[in-house]
Amino acid sequence: MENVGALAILLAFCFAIYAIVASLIGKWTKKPLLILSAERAVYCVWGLITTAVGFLVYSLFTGDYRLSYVYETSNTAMDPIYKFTAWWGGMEGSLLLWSWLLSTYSAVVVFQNRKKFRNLMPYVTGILMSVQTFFLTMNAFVESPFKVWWAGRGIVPLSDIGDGQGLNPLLQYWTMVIHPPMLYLGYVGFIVPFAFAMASLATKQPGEEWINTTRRWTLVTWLFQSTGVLLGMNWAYSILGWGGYWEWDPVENASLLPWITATAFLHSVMMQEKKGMMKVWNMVLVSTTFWLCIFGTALTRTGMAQSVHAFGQSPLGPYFYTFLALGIAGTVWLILSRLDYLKSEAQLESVLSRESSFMFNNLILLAACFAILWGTLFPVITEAVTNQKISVGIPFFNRINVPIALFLLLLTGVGPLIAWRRSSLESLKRAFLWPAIAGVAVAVGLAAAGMRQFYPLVSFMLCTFVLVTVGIEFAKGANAIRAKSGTNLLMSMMELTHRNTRRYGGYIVHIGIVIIFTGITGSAFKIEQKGKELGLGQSTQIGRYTLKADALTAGANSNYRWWKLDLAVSKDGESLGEMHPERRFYIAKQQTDTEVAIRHRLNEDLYVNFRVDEDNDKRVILDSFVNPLTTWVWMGYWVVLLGTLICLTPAKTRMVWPRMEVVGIAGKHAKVEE
Amino acid sequence: MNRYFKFGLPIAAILGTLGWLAFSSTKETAGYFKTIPEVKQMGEQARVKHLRVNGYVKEGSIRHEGSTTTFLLVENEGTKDVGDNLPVVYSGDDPLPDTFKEHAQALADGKLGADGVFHANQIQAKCASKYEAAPPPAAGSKPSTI
Repeated sequence: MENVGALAILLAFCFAIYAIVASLIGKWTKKPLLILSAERAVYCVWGLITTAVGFLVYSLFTGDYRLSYVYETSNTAMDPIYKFTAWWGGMEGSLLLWSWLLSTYSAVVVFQNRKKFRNLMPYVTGILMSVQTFFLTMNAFVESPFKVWWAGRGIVPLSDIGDGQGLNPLLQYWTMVIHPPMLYLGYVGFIVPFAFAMASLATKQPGEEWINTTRRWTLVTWLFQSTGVLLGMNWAYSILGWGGYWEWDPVENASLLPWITATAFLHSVMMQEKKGMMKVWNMVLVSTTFWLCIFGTALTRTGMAQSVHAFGQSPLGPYFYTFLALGIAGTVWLILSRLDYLKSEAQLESVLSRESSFMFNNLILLAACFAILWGTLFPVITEAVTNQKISVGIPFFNRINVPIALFLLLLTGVGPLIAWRRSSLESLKRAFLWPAIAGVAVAVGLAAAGMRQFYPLVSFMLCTFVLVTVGIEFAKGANAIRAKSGTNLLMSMMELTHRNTRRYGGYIVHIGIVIIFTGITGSAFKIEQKGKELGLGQSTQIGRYTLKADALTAGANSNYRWWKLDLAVSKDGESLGEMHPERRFYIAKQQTDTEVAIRHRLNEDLYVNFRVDEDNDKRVILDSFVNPLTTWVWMGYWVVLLGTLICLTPAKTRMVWPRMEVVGIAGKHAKVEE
Repeated sequence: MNRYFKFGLPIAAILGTLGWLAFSSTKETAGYFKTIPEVKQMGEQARVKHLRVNGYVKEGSIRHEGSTTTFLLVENEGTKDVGDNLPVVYSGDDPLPDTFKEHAQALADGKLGADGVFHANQIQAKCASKYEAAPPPAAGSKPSTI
């Protein structure tokens, strides 16, 4: 069983190498059949890795505890769904998931383009399979999921193998079921735009073909990354029990970094599509995003950074660092050697222009990315430079990223409305007068109501500003349609969105982001009370809520022992019913874990968590939090999802942008098909 | 020249502000990673600087008194040859992590007191590798590599 699985991985490794060699030699010697065989090899790689995955999942389900991986991540009493997710619950399996997703993407790309881009595809295949080979090396030789525990330990009687240890209890939660695949779909998916970008450099394509073909890929993977990050936040909020969802942990940062550069990329490609500008920059961004994805994968697996979520120490470090160093060096060399083909077709003219707002958007996103990377790697950097490991705390990240976020929010409002090339102060006044008045009015209103913190006031002001600008955009366009066709406002808005899905879908994404920012701003007004000792029958006060510990019940099942607290909740004297936080002790892993109770409301969440002494069950230690507006973060996600889906729908009318002031290489969109 | 100036100025202003924010908050929030012997050698310095000490929780050393927890942090995992130790007292607001228990790898964040006791305001803990890679029951010695 494990032999067949391991063999499948080994064969996949061979096929991936074959695909690289065959596609490149086929390209250079102009042998289409060789290229075709390389593409077939890509399908084989997928088939083989899928086989290996099948064997691993089967072993997890049947509880084949002879295998180290199964022993460490699964046990008999576990819910079947978690037996399946144990696939990515440990280091070896999660690397196999990476490999599998990559091979799936590769197969899809090869299939989609089997008749197109014949001169690009050999390079695309080569790049996809090079990365695949790297991950298969890990799967086959370094972190094999099919390692039998007793290998090299002599003979162990079968009867001595007991039950497995089970999946880490923290991972036995619904968002953790989908968070890793989502995040990996986003991480891995960025290889497709990257491969096309590099292939177009390698074949000296002058145009934007690679951007047009990979636009959907970029958006879809960006959506997966966003979903992954948000699910991770939701998981942290619902499981870790400290009352928040983000604490700038290296692993969280690792997931955020490529998302930031991907967001910058999504914006700056528009400059290239519409104006032929920022060509080098887009190459840099797409490469940075891809290598940050690999870097993030490395960060969580090599023990480079101290983190509560990271997998333990592993022998993977040198492999990943070598791969990163070689890959980045290769990318830099390729971009530098093709600079002539990446000349900009237009120049920045005015600070008050759409172009410059895109530039500032990129600048600020990259600054955020750099600051987070710097903070995350600070211990590593200082150790290398001064031989003294120094870390920075959470305030470091907040202090830098809060102003950045606010500036971005401002650009979200200003950017889409400002004119291309140059804008006059007069037209700015016309476009932004009402949004600015609305924003200031909200800020003044909140200040009058007693809100005194500077950043939250600015944040709410800017959120209003952006919402009103977007609202006006929709209203203007819809009114024009209504005047012509006579349909109602809602229908005209839908018609408007349908006519230019990218633009209005993008606006909807912006609304979603504003909603998320509103939710995040709410956390500035969090109330917390930690470590409150409460005897049964006693009560405590937090904000306007009164919490009374009514009863503590205990029980056990085959997977864990549990304690459930009945907490009577009332607000301003009015009863709101009961909340039931639960405390669990997972027997196989010998680890405690909390099921936090959260009362979700639009204005605020009430969040309670408790601990209990096993010797004294007449008393609990209660942590309670009032988290204003947290629900908005999750709500905003759905709006982002909707907006992105709209962006992905084809528009009713196809937009054509005439390029202005074409300089540099004139032959745009020159297809060099063989 | 004018064009460069027009764009250079706001860019320089933005990057300058962020650079200054980064520099000042790095200084304020810096925590120095130290091993237990290093802390002991630091002398006076250990009382002023914000330290993060890594070690293992010694078996049988955890004592809870009210909201205060004291324990011994030792250099090496296991029961023998634990190496140098450092008494730690924790009385922070946050509950101790679920993973904090005997033999767990712990990271104590705080300052050394004049009494030679380390006053932590945050404790991070990771399950000892013993639990992550324990051998199947009754299967003999602890595996060296898994």
